[in-house]
Amino acid sequence: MPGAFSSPFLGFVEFDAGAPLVDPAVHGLAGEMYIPPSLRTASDLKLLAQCKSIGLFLQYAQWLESSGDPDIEPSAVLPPDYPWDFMKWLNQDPIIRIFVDKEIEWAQLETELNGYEVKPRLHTGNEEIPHPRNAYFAYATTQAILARQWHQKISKIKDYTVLDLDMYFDPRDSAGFTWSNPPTQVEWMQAINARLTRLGVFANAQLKLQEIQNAWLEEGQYLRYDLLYKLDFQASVTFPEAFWHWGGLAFHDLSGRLIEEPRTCGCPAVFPSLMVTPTRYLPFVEATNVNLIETEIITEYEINPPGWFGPDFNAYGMIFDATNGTFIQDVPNSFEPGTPTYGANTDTRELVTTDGSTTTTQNNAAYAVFQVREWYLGPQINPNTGNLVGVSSRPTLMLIDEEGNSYASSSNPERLRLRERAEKIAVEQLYGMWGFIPAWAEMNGFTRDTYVNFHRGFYKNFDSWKYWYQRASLDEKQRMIDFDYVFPYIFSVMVADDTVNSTTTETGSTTETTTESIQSIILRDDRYIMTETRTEQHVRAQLKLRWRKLAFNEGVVGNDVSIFVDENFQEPAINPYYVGFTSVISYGTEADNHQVHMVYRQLAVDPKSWGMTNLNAFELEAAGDDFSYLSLQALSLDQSRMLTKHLFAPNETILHYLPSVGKESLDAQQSIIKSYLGQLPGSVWLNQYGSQAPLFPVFQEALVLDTQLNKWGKMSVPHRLLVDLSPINSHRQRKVASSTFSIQAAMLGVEGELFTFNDKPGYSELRYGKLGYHRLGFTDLEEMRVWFAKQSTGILQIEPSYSGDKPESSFIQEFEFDDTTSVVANYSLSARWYNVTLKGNYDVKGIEFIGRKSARR
Amino acid sequence: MAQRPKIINTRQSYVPIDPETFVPQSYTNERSDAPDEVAGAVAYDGKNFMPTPYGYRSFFGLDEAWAERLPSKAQELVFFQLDTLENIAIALCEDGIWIKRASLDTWVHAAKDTGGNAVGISVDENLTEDILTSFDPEDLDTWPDVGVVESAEEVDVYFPWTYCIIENNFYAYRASSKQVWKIAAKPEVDKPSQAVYASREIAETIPPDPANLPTGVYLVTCRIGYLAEDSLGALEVRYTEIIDLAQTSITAAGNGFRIQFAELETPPHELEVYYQLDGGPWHKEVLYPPPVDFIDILWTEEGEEVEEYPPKASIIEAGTPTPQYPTFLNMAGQQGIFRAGFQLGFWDSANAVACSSVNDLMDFEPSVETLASVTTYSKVTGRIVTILPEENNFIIYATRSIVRCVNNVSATQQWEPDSITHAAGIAYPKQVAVGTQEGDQYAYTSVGLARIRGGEFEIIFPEVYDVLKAREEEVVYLQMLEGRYLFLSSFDPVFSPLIFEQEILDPSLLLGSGGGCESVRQYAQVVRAKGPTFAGEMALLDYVLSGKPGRYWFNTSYLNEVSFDPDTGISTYELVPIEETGEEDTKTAVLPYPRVQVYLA
Repeated sequence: MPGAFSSPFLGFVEFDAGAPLVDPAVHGLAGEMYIPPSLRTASDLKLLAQCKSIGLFLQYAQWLESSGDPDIEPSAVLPPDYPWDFMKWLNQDPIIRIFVDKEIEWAQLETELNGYEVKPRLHTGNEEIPHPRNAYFAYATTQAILARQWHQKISKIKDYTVLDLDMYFDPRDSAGFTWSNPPTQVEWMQAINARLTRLGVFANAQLKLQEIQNAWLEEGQYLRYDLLYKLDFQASVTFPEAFWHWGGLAFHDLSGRLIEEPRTCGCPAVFPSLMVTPTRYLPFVEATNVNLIETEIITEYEINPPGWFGPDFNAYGMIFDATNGTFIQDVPNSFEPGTPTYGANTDTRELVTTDGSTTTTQNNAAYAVFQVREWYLGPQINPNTGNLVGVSSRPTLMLIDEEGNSYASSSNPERLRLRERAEKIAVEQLYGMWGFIPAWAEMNGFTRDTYVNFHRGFYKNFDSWKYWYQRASLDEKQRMIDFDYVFPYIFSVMVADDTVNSTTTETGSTTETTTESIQSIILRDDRYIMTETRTEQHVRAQLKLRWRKLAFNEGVVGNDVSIFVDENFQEPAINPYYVGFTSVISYGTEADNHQVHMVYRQLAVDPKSWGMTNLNAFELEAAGDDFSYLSLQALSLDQSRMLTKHLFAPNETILHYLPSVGKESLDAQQSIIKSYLGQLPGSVWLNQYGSQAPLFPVFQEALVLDTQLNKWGKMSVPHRLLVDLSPINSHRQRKVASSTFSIQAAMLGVEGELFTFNDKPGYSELRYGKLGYHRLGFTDLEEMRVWFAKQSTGILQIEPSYSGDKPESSFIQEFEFDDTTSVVANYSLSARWYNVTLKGNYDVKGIEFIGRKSARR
Repeated sequence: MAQRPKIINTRQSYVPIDPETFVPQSYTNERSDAPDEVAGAVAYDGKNFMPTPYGYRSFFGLDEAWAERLPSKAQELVFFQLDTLENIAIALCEDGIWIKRASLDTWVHAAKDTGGNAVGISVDENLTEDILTSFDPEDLDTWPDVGVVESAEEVDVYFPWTYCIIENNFYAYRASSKQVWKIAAKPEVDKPSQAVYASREIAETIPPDPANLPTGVYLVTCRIGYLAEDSLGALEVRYTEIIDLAQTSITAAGNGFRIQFAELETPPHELEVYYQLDGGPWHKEVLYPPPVDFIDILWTEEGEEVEEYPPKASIIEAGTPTPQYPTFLNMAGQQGIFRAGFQLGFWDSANAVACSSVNDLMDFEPSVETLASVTTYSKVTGRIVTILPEENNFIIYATRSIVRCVNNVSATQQWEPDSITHAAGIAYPKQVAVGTQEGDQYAYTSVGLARIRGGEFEIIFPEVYDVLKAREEEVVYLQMLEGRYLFLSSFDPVFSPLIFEQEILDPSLLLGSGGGCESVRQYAQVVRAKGPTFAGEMALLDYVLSGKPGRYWFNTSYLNEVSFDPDTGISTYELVPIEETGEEDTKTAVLPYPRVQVYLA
């Protein structure tokens, strides 16, 4: 049989791409390779927001011939209680039912004409399935139709999907790259790829896959369709290739076990009667703006240590530059107070007496600098159960000193004693500073020691902190991070030996007595400002990720680099339309690592060749012996929802396609929705609990009605709230730069940012249209002029329609204009009508259209 | 044929409809078109644009305004101007009120309010330090079980915010809370609730232990301190006004005073006694009576001299949320507030609408004199979703009715309900927006997008409503910006992308179309440069037939498959001409009909 059926798509499963990794090193992200949540930038969050689902494929699936060889063709095994009821399923869908009936009718007619029934070529195993053969044909045809629709939808999405990314990249991401100036597409893809790796996206995908595989394996040896379909619940993405379509697929082993997948319960899709127009797509990255940015971040902390600072003690040399009045350390969260030193820092006094003799006294002393922080935890949600697991609303004071257990684990009892004493002194000092601690302790039934934690290391290495951090929500993490920057107090403690040294030296006739006393608590008396200055470098780029449709033999030039001329496109044994997005998503170079291909896989169907449609999706292919079935969905959730919406008629639910899914599952889903939505009053009169809407919604678009001009506009920016910048109790304060004819307003972004509006949108388009001179024939557009009220930059796009139904994407012509007040486009193709689309930054005041009537018939 | 220049009228509005449903426009009526005539072409699709008087402009680029993002999820974000002309941003959020002052770069959590504190929801805080530090974070089995809130039902309830402006003060309320937050535009004296007691008394007495008060004539006043939560939930002492305890004296050394208050309304936490001995300087002594509903305490010690008397009442800075406690109402049931003329209004879960006293916005004790009232309007059908002020009146938006209550002080009842519609309602508070005047309101109702002006209900733009209603997520929120721009925010992209046709034609067709090739021969070379292709051969044929490339073949012919070779994946097609009647610019296709080989894999 020519051509191997490539991996069928099972559905999407959502996963938490940004979940913190417990042990990054396991995933090959040792040391600084892993970017923990605390270090994520806004760009990272945007990038993570694009990685919401994994597409699951069956790997190595292929259509089976009845070769009789059990090694090649495992025998079909259906679970004995498999809920197979073809007609029941058929009745779920009246449209398909009609279709099937019609096919049966045709088949009967054909039987009369030919004298025999046209039997589809079926696998022998199918002989036992009691329903008409033609139904197979009907279903196969239906599936092919659906497949074509799917293809068209995907094409549409890809034609007009531009993923705007405003990225900041730390140059260290690109350490392994040789950057061009400006960076090329490939370089950006590699940079994105590397960043995704370092963020743990792929590792999390792998973990999720493992989880799914384990769940499947627990269910027994059968790969049950209803289990597969359960995957679709949360993503709400269904797939047109219904389960019966998969009959005959062989399922390769999972995790070392051979799962014999039932291959006879569905239609061997050998009768697809429709062809799909082959189309290749190329995802490419376009960097519209690239800058190297140096940011100087200056943070000031005001520190007010109470108490007083003992004399003769330069305690702050480690962290405080007395000359410049600034702290020396780099960043607050790597702040390390002074190293407690022993022995080397002995307190040495020399007394010179009148007769010239010298007495030296030496005592052991310890000194440490302690940070005191308030610490707030909770409330926290247990991610497994969804329950609140605890609230610790008490501030906890924490004394920390430098990391390292050398003295803590020291066998030197003297050092240990000194350390304990230093800590004790620090605690006592804390009680003095924070006089409410004993009161709190009494109030809450604790001892006052409860409020002081000792931790000998970085704050973030504190176990409890890590525990909460790993389980905190994004908001809470941010708060914890923010909070970690607070320096309420710093003070130092010096501890001397038990003895207070009093040395009396008598020499000759002169007696001099020096009593030396080292203060146990030494604190600075003044307040000071800690200035932290650091410079960060970023590569900032505004990127557009879009899909470019390729004709045969066509390559693409993007950002000065010619790429992706598919050399194998004429080799049918290999997917001829395989266009890999490997440069974006591939990661790892070793055989053990996965190669993630964002593949737009397009298989044209030829009924006579018995090749089968595969649909477009992104796919992860395993390299080496590791078998995972993952793709990283390049579409955003909105876009995938759009896919779903257009895939089927409205009001269809999964029950149409999978009646075996129990109601309890749907109830569980409802319960999740309810817990998210809360309760709001209802306005519609259905049997439901009110009308549900998100509490803190993110809106995708807004239509704007100018109630004075009575004209509509449109805003296509995700937003949480629209904000009127005028105070609600006052006149307008023109604090926002004014521009002619626009709104001075703002919106609250998805992540809580306040954005004001301007007239330089990242993406804007306006389509005038369906212009034709007469209805009988064609119009020959020869010239298009657009006038702008102010200097405009963008693209004028002319979209002809030949069929009169839809514009023809192949003949779109674009005319760029740059900082001009008018643009003239000359065009020479006839069409039934045209669209004129303006993109970019424009302020149109007039459009002229010059052409002839043409080809009237 | 002569050129025909046309002008597209950019002053016309974009039409917000599904671009797939937009019909082609025809400019010129020919005989065959007559007598139909349609309007000229208009904009019917796009993203991120705003109208201008003369046309359209790109808009909705974004500038990030502030360094710090709002740390909490906000339901409302408004700007409010203080008397000092400082504009502050007030965000009503899931965890209370966040305020950003003009002088600060950061948001400040100014008040803590998760709503429902009048209901009595509490969170278990049994997690002790021991538990926190004794388990192994990496081992799930050792996770502590304490502190689990078992009842998911309770925490599911969401309490929405409402706000209004009365007398230039900002009032915000979160449903089922016991307090209303007031953000005053100017500094105010902090007035805790007045001390209410049955009687007070001070008398010289002989205490069990000798007292240290000197003999003499005492002029004694006092004030009672109550512990109260501040806006963030921390305890602070708030004082009553000065209470006069009259003049009395101590006649013998070792005596003191006994101070008694009977039937205090609120148990005290502190008693500050101010006294003047023989006309000397004022002193203050603080006594701590047990927190019961009376005070009976001995005063035996001298106090500190105070520099000024009477003590300053605490000042609440402008722009600071302070809790206010309405009387009479069952706060657990209250759903929201609104401005009713110059009174404060509440509505509750039983659809009752309360209006405050005209003298005291927190006094809801019904009274004919103060006009405070609690009323259920029978014309309100469905649950009240929100209430908006309309000049001196207010409009009740319920799930199945809209009722306007008109202020009429001289009538028996202050508010006269007037049903605007009994067929339309709204589901969510944000489905209504106010225009330039309070009397100009827009609502996304169950029957359509409506403008309500002066009590008149008018459906506007039904076609837009129909489009929005047909989407998967039909929830639409309205917001009016600058009193002029009405935003209809949608969870979904409003329209799907415009669908283009998918036919793939050889790009070399485009070469010919612009006159890039001078001859058929040259065109053939270009088309066959990478080997013959189906589309290329078709185009070449078309060139031969029509004399101009890329014009006619797709209209004049169709393909008929002749054979297919499954081994090579090659199909062979023949071109079959469509019979045409003779019209101008049309040529009938002629032989030869070439057979072309096409790869289809």
